[in-house]
Parts: sequence; C-alpha cells; structure tokens
Amino acid sequence: MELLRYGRNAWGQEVLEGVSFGLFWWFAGAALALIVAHLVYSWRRPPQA
Amino acid sequence: MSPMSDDRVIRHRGPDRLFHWITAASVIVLLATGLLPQLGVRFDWVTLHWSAGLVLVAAILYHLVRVIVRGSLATMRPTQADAAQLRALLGGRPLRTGKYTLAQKAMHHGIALLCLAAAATGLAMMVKLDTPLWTRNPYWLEADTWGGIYVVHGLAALCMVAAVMLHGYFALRPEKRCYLRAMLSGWMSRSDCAARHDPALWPTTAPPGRDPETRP
Repeated sequence: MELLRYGRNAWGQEVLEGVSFGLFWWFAGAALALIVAHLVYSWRRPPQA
Repeated sequence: MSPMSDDRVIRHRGPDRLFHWITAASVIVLLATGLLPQLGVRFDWVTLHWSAGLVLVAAILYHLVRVIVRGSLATMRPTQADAAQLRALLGGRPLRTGKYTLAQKAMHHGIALLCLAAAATGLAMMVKLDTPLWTRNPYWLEADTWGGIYVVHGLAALCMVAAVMLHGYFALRPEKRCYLRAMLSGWMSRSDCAARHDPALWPTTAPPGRDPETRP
C-alpha cells in the first residue's frame, strides 16, 4: 500500500503528486468500522435512566 | 437564542441553517467531483469542482463574519464543562451540557480544520487553472511545494469522507434526532432541551430584545 503518488516531470525528475487515492478505502473502512462499533456498543449498553 | 413558544426553543437560526446546508452540499459536490474520477468514474469534473470550492470558501467567510459580528464564537470554545462532560462520559453517566456537546464541538472543529485545509490548498491550486478571472500560472511555486499542497488537499479530502460518514451516522441516530430536526426546522422541543442541556450553560430565555447567545 503506497501512501503517496509520484510522477515524472518534463526533465525526468521524480515529483510528488499527492496522496495515494488507494487510501480512500482505508478511510471509508475506518469510518464504517467506527459506525459498526458504535452500533454494537449502543445495542449492548444498558438503557439509561 | 430566544424562546419560540412555550414548548419550543430556537436552536439554529435561518442563516445558520442555510450556511450548514450550503456547506454540506458543496462538500458533497467537492468530494464527488474530486474523488470519483480517481476511482475510475470519468466525467468533466474540473469546473464543477472549483466552482463548488468557491461556494465553500464563500460559505466559510460568511460564517466567520457572522459569528464574529454576533459575538457567538464562545459557544464553540472548549470549557471546564466539556472536561466535566468527558469525565462523566468515561464514568458512564450522562451530564447536561451547554448549547453544544463535547462531541458536537469536536465534530465542528474537526470539519472546520478539514474545510480550511482543503479550501486554502484548493485556492492555491486554482492558480494553475484558467478561469474567467485569470490565466494559469503553473510556475508560481516550486514542484516540491506543489507536492506538499497536493498531499494536504488529498489528505483533507480523505479525512472528510470519514468525517461525513460519521456525521451522517450520528445525525440519524434516534437519540440525536432532535438535533437533526433543529438543523432542518430551527427548533427543538423544550423537553428535549431540558433533558440534554443545562439552562445555566445554555440560557434559552433572555430579557426582551436580548439574544443570550450574543455578547451583552
């Protein structure tokens, strides 16, 4: 898994082009995991007075 | 904040709700136009992207001016009551709060930081585009500096995807439904307000003609 994207400029030098968009699924997956964890926590939590 | 009727209190005024939904719409358009092409969906996204970005920048400036003029910046400031709420949360017992809960302040500050980072880097990147107002100048900054700008812009976008998912989830939670309704209609019921908010920290009544949210 690459964190950054690199390309080549007109002189063949390596240049930074930004973050790797393959990370999209990691960020979306982390948010989804938090949502599922909170759903489970809310479901198991005893009702509050 | 002022009383609306005996059983309702105003939580968000019309201009604030308009700001919220314009910001939400522009962020959704920005994420869709910025990320879908990277995920293989091909369309002419550039003009739509920077146009939505300018809408977001205008919304941020409007919001900043409004909260400064109204003197309502303090409602989002971390306070001793937030620390007490955090301790109460860790102890498993709910605690009534001021106008905004600790989680709401954290979500606001997180999304504000992401919007500011994306907007600042996005404005810089517009120098490399031809627009009706100027012609492009790709040599304004060094290549390494542009690389850093692209990283911050992309990272802000990816974090925003997670933030939007979490914000949407919590807005739809049954126990948070009163806040979603308040962002749609402006008001929350006095019973919801009394159950969640301490009137000493969020006064929902004020002398005639005085808005308790603004500076005296």
